[in-house]
Amino acid sequence: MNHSPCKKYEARLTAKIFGELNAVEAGKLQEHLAACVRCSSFLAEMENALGQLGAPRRPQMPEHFWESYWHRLAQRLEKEERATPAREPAFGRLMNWLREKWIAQPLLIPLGRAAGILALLVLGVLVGHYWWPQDRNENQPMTHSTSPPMPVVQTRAEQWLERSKILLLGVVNEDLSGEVQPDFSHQRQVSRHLLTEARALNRELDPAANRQMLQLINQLELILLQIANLEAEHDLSAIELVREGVARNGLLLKINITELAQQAQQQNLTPIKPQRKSL
Amino acid sequence: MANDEKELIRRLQAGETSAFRELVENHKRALFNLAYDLLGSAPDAEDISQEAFIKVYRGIGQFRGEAQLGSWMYRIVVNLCLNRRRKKALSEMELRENFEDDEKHEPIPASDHEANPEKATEAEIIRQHLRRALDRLSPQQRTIFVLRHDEDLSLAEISKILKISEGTVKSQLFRALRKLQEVLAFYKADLVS
Repeated sequence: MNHSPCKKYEARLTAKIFGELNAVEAGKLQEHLAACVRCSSFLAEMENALGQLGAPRRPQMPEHFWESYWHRLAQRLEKEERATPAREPAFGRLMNWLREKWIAQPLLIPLGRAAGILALLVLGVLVGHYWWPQDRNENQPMTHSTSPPMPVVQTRAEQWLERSKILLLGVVNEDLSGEVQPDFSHQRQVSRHLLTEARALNRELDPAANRQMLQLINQLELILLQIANLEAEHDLSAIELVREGVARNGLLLKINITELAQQAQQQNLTPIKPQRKSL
Repeated sequence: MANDEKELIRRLQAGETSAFRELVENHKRALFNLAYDLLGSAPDAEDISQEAFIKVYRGIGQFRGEAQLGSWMYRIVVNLCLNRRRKKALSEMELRENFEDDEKHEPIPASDHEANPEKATEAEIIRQHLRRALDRLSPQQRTIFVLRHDEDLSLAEISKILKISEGTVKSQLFRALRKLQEVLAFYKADLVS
């Protein structure tokens, strides 16, 4: 029989079962338990269940696994640091200072914070105005900076996006009204490969630097799953669902925007900053 | 916060590599075990624990010491594990079986908790049923249960790690218990029949 304990005593029973009931509460519960079969049965059942559940069973990792843990972590960190250059320390310090002085002060009401942020924005505009010469377009031509080559994972993400776009365009534009029903086995196969690659990209892309890309990958994964699960033939209702999903989420447009953003990032069109005088 | 921990945080924030290594050596097993308890896979546990250390390394500049360093690191691991489970559920559970056949994927391995069920004793079978019941809890309920039962953290510590009230911790634990009770009831019904 499945005993439901009294609602009023749920919290106390839980605390008791996990050994966190103080003496006063324990006394009150004990009085209730003496008179309530449901609660006392529940308590007994659960103490028994937790006893049977026992301690978690964990793998015994060999000692060399732990000895080389630091080495593997250091290698991974180094690799990730190379792929994503660290934030400028001065900027980090500025952000810390802002957090401490402005954002995290508990007495500041939200209006005060907003005013502070607005003041900073105005200050930023003024500084920018004086920092750059007025005729910026003439004096500071846009140039291709000698930025480091793109990491391999970025290139893979771009290729993944392009392949996904082609796949979606194929599915969206397929003529379903003809006498011969289309065969989607190839699209299913491609979707599966793309899903596998999406998992890898999700692991490898740095979330801080690729927020937009990762969001898009997550959205596309849902559609790719639908395509991967299509019946080989005649799965017209599922195709309609895929099409609706693509249209509703504006996925093709998002892919195009993300590709444009990536291209802009590659070209790295940045104004030449004014030379600072060395002291 | 203990003075030793304050000093370690100061050294970390000053960018001392030796401090970071000290932190890793002191916490690697705890973070690995927590990730394993939440995910049930040793490779995932290593990956998540390393990712957590990297997040600590990058975020230590913003750590203000309001929580204990350990609680902060636990929170990072819990969030990473929840994210990993969500992604796995998306990419594996929604695929039909023929996907596995076509691609000749290895089947999803049973967790280490469930090895050799045919040789298990009756108590072992019940234990496995209960463990499986935990997999059916909501992510938050399961996380709270694991933190309390497997990691032996107090309700107050769990409340701090997950940034929820102790009342919520208790109510989620109670729901987890009810789920275990249901499983036990089914098991007893099986025995009767």
